[in-house]
Amino acid sequence: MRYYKNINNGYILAIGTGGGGTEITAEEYDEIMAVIHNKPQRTETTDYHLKTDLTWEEYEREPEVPSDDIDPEEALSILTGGAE
Amino acid sequence: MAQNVTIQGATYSAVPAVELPKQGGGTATFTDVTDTTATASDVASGTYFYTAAGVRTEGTASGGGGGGSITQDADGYLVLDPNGGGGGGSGLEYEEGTWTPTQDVSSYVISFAGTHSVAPYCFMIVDATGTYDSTTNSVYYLAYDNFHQAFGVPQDINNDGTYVYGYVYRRWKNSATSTTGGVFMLQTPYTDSADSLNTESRYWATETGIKANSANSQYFLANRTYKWIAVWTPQS
Repeated sequence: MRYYKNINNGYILAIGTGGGGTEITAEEYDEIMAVIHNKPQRTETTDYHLKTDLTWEEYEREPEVPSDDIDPEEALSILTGGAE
Repeated sequence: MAQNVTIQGATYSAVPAVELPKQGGGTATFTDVTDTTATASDVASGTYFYTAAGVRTEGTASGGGGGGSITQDADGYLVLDPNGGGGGGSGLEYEEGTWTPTQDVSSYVISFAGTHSVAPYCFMIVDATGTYDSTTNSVYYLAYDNFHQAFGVPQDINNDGTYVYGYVYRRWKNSATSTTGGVFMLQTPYTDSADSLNTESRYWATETGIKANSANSQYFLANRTYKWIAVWTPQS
């Protein structure tokens, strides 16, 4: 099995198995996963980035932007290419 | 295989088997097996067959006709070879993988290990983390059905027995089991520069659409492990 991590600007964005990313060992994958499972609890205003040294960096969250609801028929139309 | 045989001067044509009386009563049937084509690898391990030479032989095949292994988990679901890649006895080819984001994100590029000449026949990504209450939380899966050129598997969206395609989402339910929202996967393949649908090895999975019952539920959520699988029909 191939393990990988996605890194951008000094942060680990994701880890996974399969294609893509930068290949890592199973041991490193397990190590990062353990850190991910112990991510500090975010709040309404703060969250955390995972740095490549496997420490969490706090940052200020952007406020949630409400999205418009669409009904199921409209969503289906979009998905099937029938949107106007 | 039927043979022409001579017994006590009389010739019999196309005899498939001969039944002879046994000592002490009853009969024994002797069948010509010279046209047997099976070999040990064609027959499941633990079972026996007779070779064309009439030798009783144990099979050596495992799984579905010697193809990739498919197992059944504790919940009764069929599981493809967890080591991934390759293809099973069905002849279908597939790739699978996992993905664990460290941040909530609205999109994800699926990268395949191999280059395929066509788009996947179907694709599916599921949230494999945690335990879900079927009434208060999510039943999460996203799928792409290339045969019908639509995302989704048939869904009875109006609870009227009419199933439609293209309606796959993360379904959120309230305590009364009514669907209160969902998240969709766009039908747009990930493309850049000269990539095209048929040669692209990555697909763009993004969630959009109906707002769900949680402030952050429009995103792939951090710290969850998503599992995906893409399936192709065999290509020459």
